Amino acid sequence: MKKLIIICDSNFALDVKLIVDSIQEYWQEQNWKLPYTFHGYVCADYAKLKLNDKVLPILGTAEEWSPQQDETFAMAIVDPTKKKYYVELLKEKGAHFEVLWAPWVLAPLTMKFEEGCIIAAHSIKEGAKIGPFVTMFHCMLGAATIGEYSSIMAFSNITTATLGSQIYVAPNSFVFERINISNNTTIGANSVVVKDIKASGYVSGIPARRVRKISEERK
Amino acid sequence: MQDIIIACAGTYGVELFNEITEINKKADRDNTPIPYRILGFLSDVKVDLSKRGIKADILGTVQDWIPKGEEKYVIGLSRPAQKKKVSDLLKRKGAKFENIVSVYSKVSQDIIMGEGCFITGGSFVSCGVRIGDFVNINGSMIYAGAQIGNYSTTTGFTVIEDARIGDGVFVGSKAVVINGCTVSDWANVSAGSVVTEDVRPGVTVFGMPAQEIG
Repeated sequence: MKKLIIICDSNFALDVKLIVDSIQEYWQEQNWKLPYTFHGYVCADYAKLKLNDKVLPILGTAEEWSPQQDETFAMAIVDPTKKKYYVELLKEKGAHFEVLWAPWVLAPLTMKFEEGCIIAAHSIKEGAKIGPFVTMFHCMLGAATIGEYSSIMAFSNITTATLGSQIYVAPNSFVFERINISNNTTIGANSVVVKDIKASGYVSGIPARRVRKISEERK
Repeated sequence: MQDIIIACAGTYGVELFNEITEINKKADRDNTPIPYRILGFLSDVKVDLSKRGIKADILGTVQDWIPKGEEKYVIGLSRPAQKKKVSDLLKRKGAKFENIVSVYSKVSQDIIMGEGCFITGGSFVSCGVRIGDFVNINGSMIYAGAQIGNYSTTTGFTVIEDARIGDGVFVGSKAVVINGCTVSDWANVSAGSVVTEDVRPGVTVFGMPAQEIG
């Protein structure tokens, strides 16, 4: 029986824990045996995890953690560049990452997810190709291809687009059919992407246009 | 079995009625004791409930009703100011209120909820959330660590990340409140807006990024 450790840098860790709890409930109902149990949280160095004056069981920081033989990890960091940094850090020390597949996902039975994915989507159709370490949280997919280390957040709809690696799709956004999105872009909240995105950067609006981020405009 | 009276028989009161009957049906299917029995509605206005497809009695008006016995009340209104009026009225007469959580929503066990709340189907409420009294959550997604004050409503497909929402806030459809923002008391967030900074009390915001109107 392995110990599941969630690596986090914000309150999103609790959302991942809710997914783990619902997976455990579902497997108990079906009389299957889960190969892991939840052990605790390991947070990044810069994170201050305070949740309504309640202290979470934090076991240590990710920079100093040395993974043991009986531990598996789940990656609850949403920002793609930080995700890549911590995954590579821990993989050098020999960590193994778990796939979390929530019970409410409607996906074809032949679907296989690669290492470290957190799949809590509404529906995934046949023909979708999903890379490793992708976080999908309450979204809808057609037959899309998604590169590694991307995260797609709540209520967004990617129909049949091809996304590159390290892409962040903010909540409530929509991407049209057969659109190519290059690596390292962020798609802003409530935006509708109509044309191809050929260079990295920040894109938002209806229709989506290249925009400078608000915090940079202030400076 | 808990007796329930629904205050105000508008469209929202009818939705409450339907959700409570769904909860009872599910308990029946799972062979657990049926939790609720609806005694009827309270309505100040003459309403023909058979047009809405419901068979229920109207027991009296909200103004003149005197609570007695062990029944609990739920409020069938969604605007924050109206909710506050009716709940103050009934509370002065000693009424108690019940939380209703729909069968089609996913709500974690780890939350703090006040009284008189209603969470409809399709919503997802994560761990560590603090919800006040008389809050309506209609099919929205509330991430871990958020706080929602008394009398607020959130409508369909809104996403509230790690934010603080005050008392009496009405959040329109498809709005997104980004990490770390505070929406102060009695503000309005219009439909489709993306809130990236703090919102002052009593103000209406619109757009992406959200800016004050008027």
